[in-house]
Amino acid sequence: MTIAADLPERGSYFAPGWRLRDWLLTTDHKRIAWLYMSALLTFFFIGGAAATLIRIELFSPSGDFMTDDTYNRMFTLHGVVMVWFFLIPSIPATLGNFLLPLMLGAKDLAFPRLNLASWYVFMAGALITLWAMLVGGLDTGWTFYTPLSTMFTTDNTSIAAIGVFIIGFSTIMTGINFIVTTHKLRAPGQTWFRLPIFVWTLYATSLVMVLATPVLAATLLLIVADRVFGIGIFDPAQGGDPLLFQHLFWFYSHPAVYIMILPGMGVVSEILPCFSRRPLFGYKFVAYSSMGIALLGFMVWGHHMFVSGQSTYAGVIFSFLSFCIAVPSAIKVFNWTLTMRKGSVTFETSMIYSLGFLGLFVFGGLAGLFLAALAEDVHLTDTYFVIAHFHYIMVGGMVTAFLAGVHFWWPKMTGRMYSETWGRIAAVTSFLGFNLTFFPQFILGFNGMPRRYHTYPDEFQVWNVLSSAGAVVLALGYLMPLFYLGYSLFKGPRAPDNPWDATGLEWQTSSPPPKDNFRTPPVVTGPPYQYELPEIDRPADQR
Amino acid sequence: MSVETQGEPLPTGLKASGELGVFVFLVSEGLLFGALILGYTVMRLSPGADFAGASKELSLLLGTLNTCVLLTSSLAAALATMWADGKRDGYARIAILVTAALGLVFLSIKSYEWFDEAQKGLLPFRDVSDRYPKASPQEHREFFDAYLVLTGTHGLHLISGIGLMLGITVFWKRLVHPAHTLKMAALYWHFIDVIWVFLFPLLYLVR
Repeated sequence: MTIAADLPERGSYFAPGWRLRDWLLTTDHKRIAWLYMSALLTFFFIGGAAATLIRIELFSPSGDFMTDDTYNRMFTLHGVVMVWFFLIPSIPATLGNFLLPLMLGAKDLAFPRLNLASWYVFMAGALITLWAMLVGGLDTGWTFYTPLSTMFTTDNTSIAAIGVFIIGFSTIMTGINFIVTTHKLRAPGQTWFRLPIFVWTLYATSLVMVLATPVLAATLLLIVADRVFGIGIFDPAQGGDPLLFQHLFWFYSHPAVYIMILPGMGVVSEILPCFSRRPLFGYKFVAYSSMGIALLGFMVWGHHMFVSGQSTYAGVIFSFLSFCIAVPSAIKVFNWTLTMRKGSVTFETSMIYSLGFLGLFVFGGLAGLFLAALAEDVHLTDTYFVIAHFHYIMVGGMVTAFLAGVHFWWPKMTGRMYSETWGRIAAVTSFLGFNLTFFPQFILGFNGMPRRYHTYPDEFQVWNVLSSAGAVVLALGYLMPLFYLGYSLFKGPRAPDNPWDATGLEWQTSSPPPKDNFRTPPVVTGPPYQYELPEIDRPADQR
Repeated sequence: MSVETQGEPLPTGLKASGELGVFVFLVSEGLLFGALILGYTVMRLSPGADFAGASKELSLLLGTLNTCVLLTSSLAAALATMWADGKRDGYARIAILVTAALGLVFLSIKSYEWFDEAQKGLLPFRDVSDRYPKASPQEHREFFDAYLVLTGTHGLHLISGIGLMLGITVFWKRLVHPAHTLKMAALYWHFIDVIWVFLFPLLYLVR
């Protein structure tokens, strides 16, 4: 409330009204970003609570905290909530929604009402799925594998599948909106190769959203049709093919991994140049590699099915293609690293998060190469090695990048600064906590501990205890921003328009931006990332 | 969904945004049907199955008739778009009505087919006498499962298309850019038609 009172003369987008309907019926992309942000954070902490219960159970080898049935429901809750209610929409729906029009120099997205509708559809789908979880839950894991999901488990599966189906519409709406906005609403002079990398990655993400999500929709439709009408397309007893489910599911869900990580790469591509005071190294390579990842991401789904009984020849091809997709990812990593070379690197909070992202993403990505190797994967499938691998990418990569972005653009979004000291402490804490949680799981998995069991042999206890202890530190690291950012929202010092001396259109407007984003329509005259080293860091002949 | 004016016309043009949005949406829809058709194709190609034989149970006559009806409805939609662009609103609204009516005719014929097949025990409805026992061998059931999913999903799209068309002609005067809205709805209509153009040979003709 204090923000509204303080800012009318600056014409912030907060100013035009604080009644509930001013927020729930807004078509302003900046306010919708906040609607998404509040919903996603709630879901993040629900999913986190489920993860906490899982780690408590795994503290000891015997199943003394939950029954196996409860445990199955817990990891399903954790997986479904984290994947569909947090990771998929996370950066695009919050930071992307807020920043895309600002970065393009537009007043809003191309379809503002569709944008608001997407939030309502998202909430409807999320609440339906949560309801299924509350009235008894489901135990299929987030993957809904057939025939378990069609023939054996509870009827809540249909409800949850319908909920996820509905969420898919919201994803597609956001994807369409972003694609059209990027094509049609760029400011004069904002050509494709002057776009910030964050826009490129959002564009690539939107393409994947629009192309992959309908396949998931069709798959979930068939599951519901099986449960309700007895249509047996996945039912082997009726001549159907359960493997077809896995093909269709992973045709969505592997590209969905890139829906989750690509925007994170975009965020980091904005932050690293800014705090190195250097232009992004190899801009076009980073831009093209985003598109390359989006394209190749559609051709590697079979590496989830190496032991499922698919043809060995298919396995070899999928293995090869999975190695190929490491190339564009590696191009990005090398370019980020070279951006910092001879730069004037400073360690603001968002920079620490970004560096954390870089390390954890590389580590998780290299672990992915083990899993892409056909023979090695037979040993590692369904072990904690897989869990550790994708948590390094999804949590170590994506959540870290999300936090980096939130800290980087927080002054722009709220008009307030936060405590750098607390920010740095939180960034380092979550980095250490993350590694303590998930590194032991690589060892557990390599030694053969399978995923999705609530008990394990005694010899695994040391690593599990380490992992559970790490989870406490990690939780601490994730709770801290809630407090100092919450404090900053109301009591933080005023943010200048461009606190980080960053380039990019979003920093040329006021903090927070006015309702129409720019007081005068912006014109772009040069490439992005025009950073200059401070005089003291330049070579002697250029000072 | 495209008529989102923000006080003044967008610099790059409202029409282009809306149409691009619809095209991207239709690509997305294409993937939805693509996945379903893939499922059908996988079952059809699996070795040793008498899957394809079941298509002989379908009525080729009604299927062909329906194809004609739907193609004609697309013609009406195209005429409506043309007339709306030429400011002949009265003609355009009548053509939209004809489009929607032909869509309803298609649905009626389709419903009769479904009813007929359900009577023969071919459709997978659980409560009809011990799970449609007459569909045999097993592969025939498989065929009808896929058939129902494909034509059912297509039918649901057609229902939303009819709703869209009727909405446009009823609220014509209230729309900011009726011709533009109509054009986008017509794109959707043609898309539904094209899907049927794929479904008809896949289900009825390849026997």
